[in-house]
Amino acid sequence: MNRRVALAVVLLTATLIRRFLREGFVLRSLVWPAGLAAGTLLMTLLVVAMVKESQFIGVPADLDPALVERLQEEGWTPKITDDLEATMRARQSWAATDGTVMWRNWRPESLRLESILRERKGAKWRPEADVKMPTASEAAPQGALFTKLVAILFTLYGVVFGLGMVARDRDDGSLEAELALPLPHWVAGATRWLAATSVLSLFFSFSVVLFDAIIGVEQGGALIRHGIAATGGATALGLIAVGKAGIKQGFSGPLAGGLTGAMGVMGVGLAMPQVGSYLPLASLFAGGSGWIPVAIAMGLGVVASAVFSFRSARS
Amino acid sequence: MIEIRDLVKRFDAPSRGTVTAVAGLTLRVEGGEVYGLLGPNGAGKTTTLRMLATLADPDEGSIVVAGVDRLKDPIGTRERLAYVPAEAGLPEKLTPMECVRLFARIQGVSDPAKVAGALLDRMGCTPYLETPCGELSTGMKRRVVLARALVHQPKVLLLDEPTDGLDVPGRREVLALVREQAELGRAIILSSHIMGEVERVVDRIGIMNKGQLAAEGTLPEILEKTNTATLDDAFVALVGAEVT
Repeated sequence: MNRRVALAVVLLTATLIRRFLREGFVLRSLVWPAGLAAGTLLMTLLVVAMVKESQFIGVPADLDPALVERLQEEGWTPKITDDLEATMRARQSWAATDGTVMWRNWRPESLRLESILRERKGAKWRPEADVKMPTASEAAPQGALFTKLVAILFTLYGVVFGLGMVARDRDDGSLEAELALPLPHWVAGATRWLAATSVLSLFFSFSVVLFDAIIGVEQGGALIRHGIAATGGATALGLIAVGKAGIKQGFSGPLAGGLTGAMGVMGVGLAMPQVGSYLPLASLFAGGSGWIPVAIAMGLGVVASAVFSFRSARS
Repeated sequence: MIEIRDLVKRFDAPSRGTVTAVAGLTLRVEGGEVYGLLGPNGAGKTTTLRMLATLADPDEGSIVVAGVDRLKDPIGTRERLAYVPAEAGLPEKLTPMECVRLFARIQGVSDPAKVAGALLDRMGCTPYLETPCGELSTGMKRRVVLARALVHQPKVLLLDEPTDGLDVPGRREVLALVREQAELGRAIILSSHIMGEVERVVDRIGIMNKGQLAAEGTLPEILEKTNTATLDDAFVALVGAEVT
């Protein structure tokens, strides 16, 4: 690659990224998945914080020490009080008990408390109450699941971006003007792949970091690599699928083909994880370190640029 | 400066089988000359220009642009020419200054910002330098595209319907600019279907029909050959019922 080609790759990629970021709907589509999810989570946290009850369980001073110990084993904090009912009304404790009667609010742990009291009395029935709130580390897999859903969306964006950048620029003539520059024709395909993959990877990584800050994301680093591989692979699929299509010449066929292909490869990750862990898109569901899918996605970018160049010359 | 010999281009059309868009075209354009390529829709004008600009490969024949064989050295060919497609060819979200400066940088022009600014000023685009291209009028877009095409001082200029969508003053300005560029020694091929503007600006005319030259020469030569009084009449006489 000579100096002019290298400079052109940098300049054209930077210009395409600038164009992306100036497109209001593109920017919104990149920001809203993380923004909406993060906003919802933050609102939930806010509501939980606002209605958060006391951590104490009101108990009388003469409560059986064995029961006090049992309550402490559950991670609760007994607090001695004279008037159990008044303590509840004042919201100074989330539950109260004298060993026979219990007062409680909406918290699911109250089922657990009832179960303990019934057990002590030898009751025939007691509620099954495995209702502990998840800890931060227990929530991390849910954060990862959340992030994978965003990754699927960004993967589909990759197909649309790969197709759309070529089809739109073909329609308005800017692609022809670019192809008439003294550069190899693969440059136009490669810069589109680079620009779309960079933008999607950046916004996806931002989403992962945001989710990690709010609820924690299990294996966030690997998930970022799987996401980068997925968006890069999907953009390459879009570039390959676009063929000679433009917005006016019929866009829906290649788009449907590209999206079907992307979903099919993602399905490999679910059906055959041992194979899927090596493939971009599929590795989102198959796991692994994510390095090999990233390398393969880069290879797909090269293949897509070559296919684009081949088709350009034969249009 | 431009030499096309026995050029052939075929396409596979799903409903019509193989279509020959250009069928053995031969023509020559010298430096400083404006060559008007006329013809009905589907005559092969745009396909010819796209092959010259290396955007499509010919099936047969040869093309030499400013001494460079287009088939052997497509990048060298592109260094010597500028192609202005019929569509605006400007990304909507970039400004005229960004578009022209980008091409100047890629073409290796020294001081690209200064050259881009001067060219846009020459084209009367100065009030719109920082306006997104999507918000420009058709005429202003044409001027920006021409400024971008001239940024590397090409020896050959290929203009596909350069006045399409322009009002009368806009057409006159663009045609005056085309003439000016020819005076600088550039070889220019101008494709158009507006006879009046072609008459005013071109040195020679080639009328294409079914992928071949039906007639070629100066305006008086074509009128004499067809025994007609105007280029419109000559065009109809040559193309006849094929006009679509």
